[in-house]
Amino acid sequence: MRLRPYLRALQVQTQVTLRYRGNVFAFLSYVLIPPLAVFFLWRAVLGGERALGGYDLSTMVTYYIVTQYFVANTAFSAWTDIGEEIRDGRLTLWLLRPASHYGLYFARNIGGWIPYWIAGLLGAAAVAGILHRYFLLPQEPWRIPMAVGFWLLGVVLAFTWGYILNLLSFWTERSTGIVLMADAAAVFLAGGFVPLDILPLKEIWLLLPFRFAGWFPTQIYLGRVGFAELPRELGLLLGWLLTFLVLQKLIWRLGLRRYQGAGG
Amino acid sequence: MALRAVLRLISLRVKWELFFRLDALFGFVGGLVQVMAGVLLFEAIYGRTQAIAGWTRGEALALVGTLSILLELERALLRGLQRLPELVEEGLLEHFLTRPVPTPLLLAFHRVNLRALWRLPLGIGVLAYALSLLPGIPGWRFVPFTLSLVLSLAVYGLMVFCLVCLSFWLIRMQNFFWLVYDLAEFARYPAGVYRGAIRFLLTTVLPLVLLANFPVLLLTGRGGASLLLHQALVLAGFATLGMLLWRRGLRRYQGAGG
Repeated sequence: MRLRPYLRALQVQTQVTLRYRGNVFAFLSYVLIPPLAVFFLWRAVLGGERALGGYDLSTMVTYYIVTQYFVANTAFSAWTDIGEEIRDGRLTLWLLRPASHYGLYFARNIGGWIPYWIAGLLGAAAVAGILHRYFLLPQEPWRIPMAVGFWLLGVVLAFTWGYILNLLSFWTERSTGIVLMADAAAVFLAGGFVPLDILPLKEIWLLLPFRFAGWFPTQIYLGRVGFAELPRELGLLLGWLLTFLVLQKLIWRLGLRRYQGAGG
Repeated sequence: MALRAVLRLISLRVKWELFFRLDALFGFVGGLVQVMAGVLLFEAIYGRTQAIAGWTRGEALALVGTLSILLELERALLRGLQRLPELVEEGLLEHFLTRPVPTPLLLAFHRVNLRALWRLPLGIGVLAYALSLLPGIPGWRFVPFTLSLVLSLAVYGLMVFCLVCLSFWLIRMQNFFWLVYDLAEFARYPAGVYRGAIRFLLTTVLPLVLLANFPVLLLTGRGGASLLLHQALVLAGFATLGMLLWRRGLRRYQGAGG
């Protein structure tokens, strides 16, 4: 497979995003504000050395800062243009190109997100600075790259999931509602609202793959997952990813058989 | 005249939305997930504690329901405001300026979203459940509650309006209006968790705490008419600021786009 068109798509999309740098920095609010707001709630609940589900105030504050960075920078809905292009017939232009549609959109997606990832680090650092009394660094340095590695695989998984949902536009009039519904569900299931292991019915939430895009990498960061557990979790993550990729290929082929390119 | 135009816009939008029923259904489920996330957060906490900063489980759930109602009303009625940056950037604001209706009103109501109204019962359901945990609330308290909710909606709408007016000075600001929605995070939690200067800030300059907390405080009998007066004063402040920004912005607008 020639990588050049994909790398070029990635590069171009990064440049497009960087044209509006103010817009990128405005996105910082998504990384910065929710952990700050939720801090006041947890200070009221966990102040005075109390703990909930093994989380004391410092662990909880760190959880929200790290998870919010991961979840806010993951495209659970892939790219809503995919569904809209199927609906109005613009997909035809993509079919003429000698490259994979999934691959091109994945490259564009990553390219578009890279500036946000970098800016998001500044936001996370700022909120960690503001709440420095409570923010924890991992005791073992390897936990940071390991958490990021798992999260990046989680990003691929989340993109593939969102891509599959967009492909449902081959069968429905409009898939925006489906994609946005799945987006809200995925943010919740990734642990973006509440740590999954303190929720009622946690066994269900922890069975699903979305935890790899937020909750699980943060557990690695916090030292709540041992090194010995990582190979098994990596196997599970890759298993889910493979399943999604096969499903994506299948739906794409079935959808193309139905596609007429007339739009409307 | 202006009211008739607004009602016509709403009716056209309703017809358009009904064309995509399946999509609306999924939008409803998306709203359900968001409301459930708020409920589950408090359920996880109240499973292990009796009160958060003096707020009981019922009061906290009433907060979740009230905020959901407020946000869905805003999403349903006022999301058209989000288009202002795009119209300024593309130089298309004349389409609105040339019509015989106050432009901010037309902007606010030209994209009424039926799907969000479908999600309104979610918040109402959570509020009803919360009230079942809070016995002895007299019916007349729903009058100040509703009045406070309407004031909150107007304050929130004006906050969004003030923010999108900045598009007259900034080239592209699609992500900027998310700022106000992100700030709404502060409205999700009981007022008691904020103290000192932060509490003052969140009830005056960035009046996010009054949005859902004040209606719930009035409903549960923990606040009086002074809360309504406070909301009215904040509303007047934001209305003045919004008018100022709009007028200054229009003077700057060239209609060239780009």
